[in-house]
Amino acid sequence: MSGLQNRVGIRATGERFPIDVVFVVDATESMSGLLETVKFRILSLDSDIAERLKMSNRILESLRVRLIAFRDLYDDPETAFEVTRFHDLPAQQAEFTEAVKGIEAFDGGDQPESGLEALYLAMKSGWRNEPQDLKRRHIIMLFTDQDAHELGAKIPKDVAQSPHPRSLSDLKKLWAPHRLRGLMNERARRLVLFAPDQVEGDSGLTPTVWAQISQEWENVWMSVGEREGLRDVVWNEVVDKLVATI
Amino acid sequence: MSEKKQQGSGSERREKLLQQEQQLKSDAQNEILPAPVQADTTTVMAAPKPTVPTRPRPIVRVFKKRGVGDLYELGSDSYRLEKVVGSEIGQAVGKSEVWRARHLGSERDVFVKKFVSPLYPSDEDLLDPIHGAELKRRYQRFEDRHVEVGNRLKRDVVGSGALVKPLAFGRPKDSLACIKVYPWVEGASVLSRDLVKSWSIQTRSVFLRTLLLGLWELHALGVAHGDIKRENILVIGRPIGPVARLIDFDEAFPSDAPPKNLDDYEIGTTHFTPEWKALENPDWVQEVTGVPVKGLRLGTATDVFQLAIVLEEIFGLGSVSWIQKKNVELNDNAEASLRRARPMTSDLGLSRPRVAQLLQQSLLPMPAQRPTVPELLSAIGVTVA
Repeated sequence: MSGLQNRVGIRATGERFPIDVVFVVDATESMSGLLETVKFRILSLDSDIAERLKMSNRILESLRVRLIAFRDLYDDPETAFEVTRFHDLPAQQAEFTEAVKGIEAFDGGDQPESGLEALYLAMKSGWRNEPQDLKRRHIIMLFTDQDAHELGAKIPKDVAQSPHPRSLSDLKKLWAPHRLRGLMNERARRLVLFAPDQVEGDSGLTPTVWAQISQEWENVWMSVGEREGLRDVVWNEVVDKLVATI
Repeated sequence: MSEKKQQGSGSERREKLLQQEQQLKSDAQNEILPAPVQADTTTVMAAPKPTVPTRPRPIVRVFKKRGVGDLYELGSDSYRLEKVVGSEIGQAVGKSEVWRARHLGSERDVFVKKFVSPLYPSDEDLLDPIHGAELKRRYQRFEDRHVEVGNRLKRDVVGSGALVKPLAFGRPKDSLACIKVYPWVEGASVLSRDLVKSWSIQTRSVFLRTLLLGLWELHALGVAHGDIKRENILVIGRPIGPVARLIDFDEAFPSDAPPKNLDDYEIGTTHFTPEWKALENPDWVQEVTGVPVKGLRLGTATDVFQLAIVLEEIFGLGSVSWIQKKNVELNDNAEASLRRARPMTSDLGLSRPRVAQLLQQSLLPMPAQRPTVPELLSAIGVTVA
């Protein structure tokens, strides 16, 4: 028998990416439209990402998503955060739907919200960290139409155990790579901000904390949103931004 | 007992105050200006005022965010931002922010690419006893590589014309991020299979000569590109036919001092595009095999491996097929090469069997076994010194 009969011609299938995404969404009233969009469209996120990755011969190996909705600790600590655990999509789609269906947008105003605390909660998510997997991506997508207040208010214990970062400087240190005592993997971490870069203050327009993060933190992309809400953000743009960071 | 007495006294007084308040409201409605009433705060426990929660704000120190019309200044050069550009002209946008801009003075259009990582440490970072020195070292390593590559590319001012060399690199005023400036290439298209399918043998030949001459020039200057892929090869029309322009030297490195592992590069970015990587791209072989393989050193042969894949995709069979004895799923071309599968290559439509042979050699696992660019050029009839 010829040895050729045992030979197989095969083409490379493509690079495989395990991806974890945490959606951090301001759940105050002005963001209700976007929150509903995220809750609804996140269910098809796996196919949306896979389709785009396929165009560059990449393969979505697996996708886990988590949603963190935030409001304001100073208004009501009990309703300040609503969080889900990571869910595999599409396998756990029904469970995820169940977990997010009760999250509604309410309250809010022109005050800064607890966006930094929510970002901290996202950073300390249970990311997949298999050491051999260079292709993993840990992506935080944060949406808000407000500035954030300084860290320091007490996060309820059922949401996260203390100690918590007490300032923006503390939080920045936690964005550092693992080996510099940060919370996230330096190759995998990405942060995409859909947030205003300035808001109207007592002395006119003032830069937001998001603007500072976009300039001083590494691996951050910022889409400047409308100050009156993120009504202009369409889902395709969200997915495009997400895939662009992969 | 005294407590009860006090409570009773207090409630009477509160009732009295309420009556006064109602009277005031009533007077106000009747547009009578009442005499101010002073509450007896020394003896009456006032109803607690609703507390207004304080929301401390971080001290925000923000450099001016650049938008349309703003300037990036590098040394004596200024670049005015005109438009954010996408990936359609081959510029990677994922790891950076890319602008079409105008160089003030020459009034030439340029690309300005802003890197999101690594950033120069802020003053606060530099003072940090744990992170400060490390953050600065990482940034410096990144800057040194770009500066060295830039200096080498400037050695040959004229060159083949096929390299779109960076014009400037550095950290502008009021920014922690570096920018790199490239010339704007007017009327260029990204290399694609659709674009070349109708090209004659002669047209293909002219294009491939310009591409290989550009790569030969780059290697002769002591620089390996490190990220050869279709998006980094532009096609522009010339009287002799379409010619190649090689762009994006952001992942380039001195070929005589290549990075040994990912940490030799800027942290947080990879210096290759996974689909077109070669075996020697840092850390990868160890990931697949569990052990490092000797002889896998990054260099100009890395470009040859990547180029062979691109050429086969565009001019040849559409992708490289690999023949192997076992039916094991292969994730990518580098893994196929590592597992000693045999690549099926074409002559790229040039009717030159030697081309197919050299492309096959270009995909060998060991860099030293691959042909050089002059050898590839000789296969299409061009001899270089």
